[in-house]
Amino acid sequence: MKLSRRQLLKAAMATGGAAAGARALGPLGQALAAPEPAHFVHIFFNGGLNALFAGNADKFLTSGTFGVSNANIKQVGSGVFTDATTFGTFPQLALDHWAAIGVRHGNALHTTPQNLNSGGERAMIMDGADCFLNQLAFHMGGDSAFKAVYFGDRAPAYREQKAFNGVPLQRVSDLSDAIKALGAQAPDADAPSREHSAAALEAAQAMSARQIRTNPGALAAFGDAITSAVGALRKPLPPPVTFAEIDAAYGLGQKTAVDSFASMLAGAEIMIRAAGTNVVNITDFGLASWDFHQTSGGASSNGTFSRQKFLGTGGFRGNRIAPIKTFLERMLALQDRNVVVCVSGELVRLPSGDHGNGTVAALFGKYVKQGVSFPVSTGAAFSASTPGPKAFWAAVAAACKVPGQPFGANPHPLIV
Amino acid sequence: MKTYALLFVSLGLVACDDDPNALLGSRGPNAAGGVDGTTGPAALECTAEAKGRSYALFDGSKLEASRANENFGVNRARLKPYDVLAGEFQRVLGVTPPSLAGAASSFDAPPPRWFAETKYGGVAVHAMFDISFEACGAWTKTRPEMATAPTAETARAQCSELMRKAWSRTPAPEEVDACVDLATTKVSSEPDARRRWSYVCASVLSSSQFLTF
Repeated sequence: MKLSRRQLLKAAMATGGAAAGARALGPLGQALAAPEPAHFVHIFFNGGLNALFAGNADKFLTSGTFGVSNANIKQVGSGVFTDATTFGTFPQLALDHWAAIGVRHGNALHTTPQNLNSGGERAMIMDGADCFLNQLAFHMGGDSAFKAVYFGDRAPAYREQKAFNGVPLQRVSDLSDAIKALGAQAPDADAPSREHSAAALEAAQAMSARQIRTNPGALAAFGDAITSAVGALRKPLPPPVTFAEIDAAYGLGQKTAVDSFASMLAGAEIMIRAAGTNVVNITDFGLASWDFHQTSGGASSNGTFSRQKFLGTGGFRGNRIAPIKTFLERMLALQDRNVVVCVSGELVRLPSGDHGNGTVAALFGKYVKQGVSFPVSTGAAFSASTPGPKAFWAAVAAACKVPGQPFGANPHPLIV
Repeated sequence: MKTYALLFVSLGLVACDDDPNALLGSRGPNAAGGVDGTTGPAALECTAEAKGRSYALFDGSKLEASRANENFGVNRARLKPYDVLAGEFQRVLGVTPPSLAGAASSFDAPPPRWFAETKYGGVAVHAMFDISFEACGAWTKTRPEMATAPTAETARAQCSELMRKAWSRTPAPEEVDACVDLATTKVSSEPDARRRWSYVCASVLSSSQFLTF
């Protein structure tokens, strides 16, 4: 009997359901529930995210800093205040589970290709020579073939991050390719079989082994890439995720290339649903593209320019709030998955329009409590006691329910 | 001028003088574990201390401290950019896969007149394999000998020939073995002989040797 793809998927789901229903027995005979898969998505606005958006808008109300007034901010609750027309329109589930977390890394510079070893982005993303992103992915465990991926026009902190304990951080640049590699959409009739493709790529890896060993500079990541491709091909087919569905949700206009902000969010959804990816980094395009220093009458216009860029108005192209809302609506509501989302930059902005020496991260997730931890002052400064990046990652790990404390104790009491 | 040339050669020699083959890029079967330009991993690092002048920086560190002290002929591979792939398929197979034309985003091709070092993630590797399979499907149709399924003998001959052409060097025995094993064992359940050869061909074209300069 020849089985259709739909029948095969049904059979796989039935088998999975039976396995879940059986549940393993613990040492004392209690049923042990399978751990809920967790996913962390870091949406990063390079150049600096004003704290008025991330949850500390109230700090600027008295002096009207950044143009903040009662008319343009929203009281979210539990001390979280934000810009009304942008972050204030996020879905209620996100608003109810929003922690504004202060991070004082002490570096008020931008990380750029000319300043690779310094700057706020490096401080937020890198832990010495390692990268927090794939460190977290490693500690989250699971068996995804793509544990950590990134979207954007360059690697986080402007450098190819090395694999951490066998977990690479890989780029995805085309959504259709991703869906095909993961087997989430029915293939063309004459497409190569997944089983034979896996065998052929394993052979390619064997053929490449010697050259990869002697050319680690350029080819270590290529070796990791083949391993991931083979791993994905060897996995059972995931629940269907079609490009048509994703296109309709995010309004991509049938473009599969990852060349817009919306396409990056769409890619994150594909990787979560079809690959079970643990960690996704989305960095907005351009070099320090949120670095608005403009002033008007001596006052910073950063709030105005940022708002316009979020909404795609005032000469800026592409609404960034709409796809974030779509993503939050669809991902925070996923049953049996714990999707944690962070929106941050590397720097807050000072009333002068200049850079602060830390950032406020807006963290969303089902185990995140609404509230504020270590906010900025009215001058957008951090108190000396504000914890640094490692503590931020400790909070993320706690929200993702990562076993143990891979980044140390979490000092931010906003995780359930 | 000849004096300067000799001076540079001498400096090169003292930079890593443990391996006399190093200056030759370890080409030839007698080089340190090398076969046609590919050295063994032991030769990756230069074991001789680098010689030359030291320069102190303002922070007290040395300018040369982060300079790689690697042997000759290793760690030089660079992945071919998307722009040259059509020509490379044409060179090796005599065909250009139609899907390659619309695959710039698969390989993150930079805009015209911009440069970015090519990198592959797992998704791009899979895309490369699919494109290669398409090209190989067209290629195998032009080869009468591929109307029959591979045997150990025919696989060894075809693998060696294709690898030599695709990689521009003679493959090592273990590399040919991996190709033969794929052809005769790992894809043996494929009933269509030409598709079976296509898997073998696409495997060779998805290897690092084809995808690097």
